Amino acid sequence: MIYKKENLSGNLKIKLNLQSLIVIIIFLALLTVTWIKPGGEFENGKLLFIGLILILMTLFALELFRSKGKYEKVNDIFLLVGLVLVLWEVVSRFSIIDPNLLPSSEKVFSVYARDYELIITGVFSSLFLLLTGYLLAITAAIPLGLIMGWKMRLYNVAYPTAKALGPIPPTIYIPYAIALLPSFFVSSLFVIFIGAFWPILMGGVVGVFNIDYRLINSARTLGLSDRTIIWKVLLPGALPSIFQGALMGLIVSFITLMIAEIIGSRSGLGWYLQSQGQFANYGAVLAGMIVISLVVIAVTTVFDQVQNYALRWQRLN
Amino acid sequence: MTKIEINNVSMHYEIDNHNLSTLENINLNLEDGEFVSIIGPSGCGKSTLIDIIAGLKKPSKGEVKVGDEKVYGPGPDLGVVFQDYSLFPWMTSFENLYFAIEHTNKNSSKEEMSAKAKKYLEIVGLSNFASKFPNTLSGGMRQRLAIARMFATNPKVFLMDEPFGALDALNRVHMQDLLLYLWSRGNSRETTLYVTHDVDEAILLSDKIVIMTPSPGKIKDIIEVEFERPRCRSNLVKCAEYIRLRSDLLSILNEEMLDALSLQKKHMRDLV
Repeated sequence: MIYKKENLSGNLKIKLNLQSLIVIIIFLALLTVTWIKPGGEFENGKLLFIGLILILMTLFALELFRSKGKYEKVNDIFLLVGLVLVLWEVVSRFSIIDPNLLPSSEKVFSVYARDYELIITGVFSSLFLLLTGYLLAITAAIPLGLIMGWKMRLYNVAYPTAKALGPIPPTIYIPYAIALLPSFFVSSLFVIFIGAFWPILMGGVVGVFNIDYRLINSARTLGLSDRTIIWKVLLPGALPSIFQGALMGLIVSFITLMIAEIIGSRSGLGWYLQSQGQFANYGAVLAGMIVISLVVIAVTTVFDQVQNYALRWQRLN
Repeated sequence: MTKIEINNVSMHYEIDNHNLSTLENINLNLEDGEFVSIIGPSGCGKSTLIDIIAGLKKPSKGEVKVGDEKVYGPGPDLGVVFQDYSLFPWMTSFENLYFAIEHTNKNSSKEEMSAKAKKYLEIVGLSNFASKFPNTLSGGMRQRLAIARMFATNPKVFLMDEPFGALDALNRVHMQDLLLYLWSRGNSRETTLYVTHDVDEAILLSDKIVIMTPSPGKIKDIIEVEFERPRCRSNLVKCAEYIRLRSDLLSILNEEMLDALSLQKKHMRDLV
């Protein structure tokens, strides 16, 4: 029996290592292929792409090291990334899709060498707008949501209003905002705010409704003031639902921001994509899309960290 | 002096134009420092009665006086422990105690409040679990914490709604001893109203046992328990007086249950 068990875990180890090995082989193959082929006018892009593969390999090694034996997740994610890159390489190398629409990796990455200033300032201007509008929405929607959930009379008026206004896509307001508000900055803030406001508000209201009334009774037996009940009982109790709404609000306001930039801005990621797309510069469009997804990954990672910390009391150990 | 006076309390609900009566003319007086248990089948309104005394519900008729003041709403003078849900899941053990102390003792310093919270954690044996969230504690530990919270806030009266109802038998014995120890520790004992459905628990803890009957909730009988304190569990169960009291209580409850059963049978026969 003991012998059998050892054998089993031995097998398991080899299996796990095999997948890691495949991932490493994929990355090495990508590396050699990129290295060998001539860069031509996109020599910069070639070097950047090699840099990216090296960074990915280092990250892979680090994550494997950090995961302490639980390789599965790390292996799967990096295998997916590797396969997507291979697919891209194959499709663009053999021109399966029109190379103007799906340019090769070195062409896409050469965009970064050329436009890095535009892209970096674009990222920062977009992020600044997004975070300002989003934080404004959070500070307004959470207290309002809590009070609406708590005071029935307010709820009766506010809920139908929220229901009527909530589903209107915030992008509808963009022309009005640009026409009525003094600057693009203020009008973008306004639409981002609207995009995030309703989901967070509803998250707050539903969150308060879902708090067990016995818990609120227990709070009342301590003779707490309404203020204390709202901040120390309703807020933490509604927080799981508020985070659900806040994630939705974040996504909506990000999309809204991109559209607002496409319509009315002279900077930012959305504007960059739009202006490059107009000149059929799909290498730059693809490069911009990669940046956007990296920004989204970064923002949602921070979001998840905050959520995990704020809701740590829900974990069972 | 904190007596509890319950005068002519009735509670009716209006559901679909149907008048549902859960409590009917309850009159009960608790002397200062008295430990009174309410026992009865489920649905007899004992929890509603606790909620009314705690100020969480308004009675349809009648009034409750604690000390010499009429109860208008919940407050720190009325300490309550529920079967569960007494603690805030987003606060650690320490924070739960500290929060309760902070909002019931208005004029202590931070150090005093923190020391008090630590002291009560120590008393209920949870010092090592100070930074744990209630989710990660066992049911017994959670109730110990809930009881610590009640004692730490220095209420004038204790109201407990089946505090140990969800615990296993062994844990319940520990908790009863802990409760008796904490309750009889100081010079003055707090007036306590304790809801239970456990006959042995009621006899061990109480000076008086109130037997209630359901639909509508009424007081059927009040029985004095005259064993000397401190009571020893193992001696008590051997005592002839205890056995007689226990069987009395059970037969009163049983009679009630038989009535209810025959009523149910009749009702079902009518339906078929």
